Amino acid sequence: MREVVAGAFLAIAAMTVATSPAVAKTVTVPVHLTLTVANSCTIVTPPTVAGSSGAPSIALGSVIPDCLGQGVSAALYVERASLKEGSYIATIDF
Amino acid sequence: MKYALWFAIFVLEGTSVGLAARTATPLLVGARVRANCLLRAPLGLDFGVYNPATQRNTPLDAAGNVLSIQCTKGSPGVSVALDNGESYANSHRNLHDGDNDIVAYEIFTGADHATVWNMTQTVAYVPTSGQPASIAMYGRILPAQTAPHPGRYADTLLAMVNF
Repeated sequence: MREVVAGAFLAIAAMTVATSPAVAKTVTVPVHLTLTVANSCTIVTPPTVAGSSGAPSIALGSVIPDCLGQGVSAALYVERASLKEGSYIATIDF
Repeated sequence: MKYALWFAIFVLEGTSVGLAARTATPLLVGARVRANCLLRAPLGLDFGVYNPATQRNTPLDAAGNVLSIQCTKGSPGVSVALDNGESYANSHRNLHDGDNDIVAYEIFTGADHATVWNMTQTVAYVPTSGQPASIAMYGRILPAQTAPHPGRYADTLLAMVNF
């Protein structure tokens, strides 16, 4: 009798579990994303000669320092007395 | 005392003592293996160093097996969704530096960067083994955006596995 009662109990329990509806579940986890923006400048337009006679200084051309994507114009001048043919190097300090 | 002991044994054993009877009863035993999933993202995704002065016109990509998923073998209908993060604006996710500066980015479902991974365009996962597996994320810093200030930018997405 005890076996029969126990068996019936397990059968009912098993049927109860088997017929319980599946429930949609969601598991959530955080995902961290990182980026380092560099402090940097570059010259995007080489200077070009655009001299003007009679001025105390001669503009060699525009230098465009592109710092962090913010284009800023700066002119490069050379004293007329010291102007010589050749290459001039523009540098940007930042 | 001796008779009391025998009486106690008789009571405990019930009527089967000495009768040699056996009853066979079908016993229905069943169990359901429920679908379950674990999801982890221990490392996140680092885009590295971004130089707006030289890189702003080209996308900066980063990819990695960011998500680790483990589901009960054979679980049906498993999909992974991503929310839009903490600073979604202008139809894009954004990394932020805590000082109102942002860098637009997106997370894609594939290396072709064709489909944005979000709450509706999800990534399906079929657990064939029940063992942990990796799911890659494909990130992209979007080109042609306003240059941000230098510094450290971050965002946090919520990844959700539905099953």
